[in-house]
Amino acid sequence: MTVPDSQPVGLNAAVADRLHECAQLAQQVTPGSLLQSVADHLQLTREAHQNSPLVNLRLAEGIAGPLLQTLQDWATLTADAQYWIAAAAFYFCRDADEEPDFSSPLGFEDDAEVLNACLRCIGRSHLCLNVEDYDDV
Amino acid sequence: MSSVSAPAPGMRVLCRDAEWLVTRVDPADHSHTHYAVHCVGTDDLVRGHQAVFLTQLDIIEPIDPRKTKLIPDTSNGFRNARLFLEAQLRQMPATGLNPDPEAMGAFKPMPFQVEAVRLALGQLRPRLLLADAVGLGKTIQVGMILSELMRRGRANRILVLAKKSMLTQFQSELWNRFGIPLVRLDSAGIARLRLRIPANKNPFEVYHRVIISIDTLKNVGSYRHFLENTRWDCVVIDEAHNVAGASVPERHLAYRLARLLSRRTDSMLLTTATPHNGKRETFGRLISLLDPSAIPDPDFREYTADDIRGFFLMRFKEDVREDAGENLTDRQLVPIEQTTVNATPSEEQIYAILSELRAEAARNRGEDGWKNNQLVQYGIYKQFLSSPESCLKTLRKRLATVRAEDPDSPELPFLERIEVLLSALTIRESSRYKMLLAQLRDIGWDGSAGCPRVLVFTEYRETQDALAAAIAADFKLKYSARFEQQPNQVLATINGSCPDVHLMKTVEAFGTGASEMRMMLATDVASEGVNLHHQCHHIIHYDLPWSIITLIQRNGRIDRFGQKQNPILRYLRVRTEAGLLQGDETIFQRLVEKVEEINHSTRQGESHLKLYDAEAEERYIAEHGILSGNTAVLEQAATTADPETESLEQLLAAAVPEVGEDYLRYLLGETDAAPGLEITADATSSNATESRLRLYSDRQFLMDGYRLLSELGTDYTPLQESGPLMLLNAPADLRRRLGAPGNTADVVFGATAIPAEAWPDDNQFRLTNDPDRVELAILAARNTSGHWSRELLATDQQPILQWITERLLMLMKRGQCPHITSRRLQPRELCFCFIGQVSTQAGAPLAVDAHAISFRPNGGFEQRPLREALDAAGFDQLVNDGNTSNLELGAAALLESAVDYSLDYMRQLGRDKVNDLTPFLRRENRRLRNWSQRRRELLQTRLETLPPNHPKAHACQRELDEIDAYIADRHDNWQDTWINASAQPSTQLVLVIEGVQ
Repeated sequence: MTVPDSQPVGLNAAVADRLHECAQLAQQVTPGSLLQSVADHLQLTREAHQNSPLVNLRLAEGIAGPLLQTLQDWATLTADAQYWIAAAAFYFCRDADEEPDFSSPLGFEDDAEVLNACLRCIGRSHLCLNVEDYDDV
Repeated sequence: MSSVSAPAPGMRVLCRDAEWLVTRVDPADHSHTHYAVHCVGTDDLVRGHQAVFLTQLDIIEPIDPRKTKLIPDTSNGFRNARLFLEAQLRQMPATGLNPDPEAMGAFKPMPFQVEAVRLALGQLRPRLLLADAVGLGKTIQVGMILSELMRRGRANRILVLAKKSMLTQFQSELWNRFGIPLVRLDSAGIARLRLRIPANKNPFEVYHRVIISIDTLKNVGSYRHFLENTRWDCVVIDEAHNVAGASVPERHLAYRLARLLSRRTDSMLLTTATPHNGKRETFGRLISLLDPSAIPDPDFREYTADDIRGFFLMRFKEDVREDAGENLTDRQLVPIEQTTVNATPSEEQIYAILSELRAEAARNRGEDGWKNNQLVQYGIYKQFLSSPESCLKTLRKRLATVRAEDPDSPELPFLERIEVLLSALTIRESSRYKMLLAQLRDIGWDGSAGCPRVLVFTEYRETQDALAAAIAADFKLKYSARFEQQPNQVLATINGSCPDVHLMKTVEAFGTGASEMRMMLATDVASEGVNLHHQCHHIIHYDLPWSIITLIQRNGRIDRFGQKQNPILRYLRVRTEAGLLQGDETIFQRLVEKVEEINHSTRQGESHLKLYDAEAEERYIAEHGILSGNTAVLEQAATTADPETESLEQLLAAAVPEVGEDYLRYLLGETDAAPGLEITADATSSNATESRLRLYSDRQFLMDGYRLLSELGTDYTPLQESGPLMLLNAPADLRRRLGAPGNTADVVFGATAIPAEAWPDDNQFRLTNDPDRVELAILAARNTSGHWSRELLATDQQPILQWITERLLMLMKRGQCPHITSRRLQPRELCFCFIGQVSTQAGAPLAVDAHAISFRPNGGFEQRPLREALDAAGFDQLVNDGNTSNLELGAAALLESAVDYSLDYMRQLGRDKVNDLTPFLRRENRRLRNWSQRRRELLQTRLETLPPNHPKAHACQRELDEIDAYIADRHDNWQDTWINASAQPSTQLVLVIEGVQ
């Protein structure tokens, strides 16, 4: 699939590059396996949180929510929406991104930023997260 | 040889016969069979010392509380066990965020001062600029914050930087009121110290609490190497505008020093009453000193209220008047009509010529021959307002210049006429001086021993000299102008050329009741920041500086927090019949009134004219008021044209909390009552009270503890009680520990030394538990000998009580714990009392808790706070029947499970604490990330506009490189040190209570 015309905005250059890379890779996997990967990554996060409360499990769950929801409604999404949701999901499942998920107290903030940008881009900004709501353990 | 498995951070270990807490473990060889174990000492001999042990060389054994040996207490009423437990409780660090001014020191904490402490403690990394107005007790607030940090184990190593003239004042204030010992180092002191320590040892690491003058230290070149390798827990810079105000700060030594220190310390406190000069960058620079990650702009010019929020407090007198009560007396201005005098006829003549001269100069402004208009139009006039002597000197200089440069100058005839008249005048015959004599008569001043002290200000050295001579003659006083004579005279003068040593002694004498000194004649330069209010409440402005800033600074010397009398202000004024003074009189009157208005207003300090500089104010008032006859010159700000100042003040007002505002919310930037974080409210406040559990009052602990020690130690003379005082003759080991003067031992006890100046001549310490007495003793010290109080408050942090605490702890050998009995418990019930701790990876206390675990004979089990368990055992009225059983066998299994319970409980407390801290940590990390992103962008944009080899480009690149280094350093030396919990909690068995019949 070609890159849609509408692009997520407001991301810094490094994050945007990484997102585009994820989008390309996400094209090669099925929505079902993406769904599974998101669930798996959440499970990893739970385990990491057991060892360090600094790993922001609440935010990870907050991000996974809209992802899982939209992935489940896959068939009803437009092609553009499918493209960017897959990209955001793929981004979420990588640990070593802009802020490493399990070693920075802000580990999931770039994932949330990416998700928000993608959601806005596909007209679902009502699902966007405010990261500061997830600061409490 | 070593054990092969690596010790983990957080473990307690035994090494070289001392107990340590492991803070970090690094592999010491490639095969990972040996380790470098970084430790911090936890038992009495090595507490707070840092060491690195290599497993190749040292035997490092973990300490297991499960193997604690129980020692039956045979003392009467279990006194030994009680004192041991009390000592344990007293060395428990506090952990909460709430300040507790109770039993902290000899002072009356004002709510606004407690708020400052709350704000500092609420920060994960206390960094605060205290920018309260002149005279609101900034030093007290520093003392309070330091005390709270010390209670939390976060201020073991303190560095205070102050101006030379302020060193003793600061040092004695912290010692007298808080028992915080600051050892003074000067260059000679550092050199001497280096002779006593091994060559490779860092002199700044010898003493743990140090005060140094900025001038000594700013010679960074010679100390740089040492300073770069020293870390501090808290750095305090007094009068911090002195380190940030320079125009080219990068080349400014004091600024570079402060910048270096800021990066080598956990907490930092800056104090100043003049946090900015109207320029955004001076304030921005101060905030960036506190926290380099506050303002992204490398020039410190662009920042928002959010960037600087939480880093500073700026309160004015009116903000806190309600809080302050009697500590802030209302000042009285003697109506200016009463201090106005008519010019003498010969003075009128001179005023008349001056008036002509000014008119001529104004008419011919810019013409050849009328250069240096300032001096001609009002400079000479202003000097004449002060004294004939001062005027004559300036006039003659001007005459010489003009004659040499332009013999035909139209100025000359005027100047020559004035000179003739002026030569015939002296200060003693001047109208102003006669008014001074009249006012002195009113005050009852005659230079005799009983008369009130008076502070007289003048702007000019020549006036000061002439005035001193005249007063000495009229009151028949001996007076010498020699600097070293000043402290011993009835009449003393201080001015800018007075060397620091003599200045300090003169100031000290003026604040000492028993000193003969009755009058101080001061110029403005010499007196900034100095406290002169202790024995004086009369101030006379002999002449009138045309500057609001100067007048506020002058009045602030005696009108400040702690002045018990109403300060009485007098401004002397001369009135002329026909001269040019007529219109000026209104301006002078407004100036005086304005200063009083500002004194009674809020949110407006010295910055009324928005000029931020005494000289600029003088020029402005002269040119826009005096010369143009504009009597409304003082009614509005001078520089509406400077929007920068305007916006800076708005910015600061937006970023500073209101008095009484909820500081925690404020800190989080929350303004509405949105569901924020009710953090700490429950978890830590209860924790705070628990960590202050005491079985003895400070007084009783001192007496009983010392008595027990003196029964065991041979050279301990008994403590004498004398009313509310306890007199303790320091035994040899205390003298060594506190660093008594003349003590030539090889070892410098840097962690426990007290100021040599505070040492009592007779080795006798006088302690009391009554803060009012200490307050009186401080007053008495000022009346007789100077700064150092003879009586000290017995508090937890008083070094003598700390000595007793540590000595008592040592009475029980490592791995042992007292065992006592109680009839109030069920027979054979065992109650294990623990103090547990979760440390950060560097060993700083994160959660501390005293709790007890009881096993009942029927299999019952209970865990509860220590206080409850002690109450249940009737701890306060126990009788020792000598019937402790031998528990060795039966108790071993129970002890093991009690330790496990205790450790589990501590693990949970540690986890709760980390959970409480995490939201703050996330915010801080987010702030740090946003800062680095913005800063990187700014620097990169700038870099792109510069040619690649431009020096500025190199500077930019260097700053870019520094960002990562800074963030990495913050992570290693801050997050890991103070926030990240170590994997393992520790617990110590401190008492076992056995139920008996």
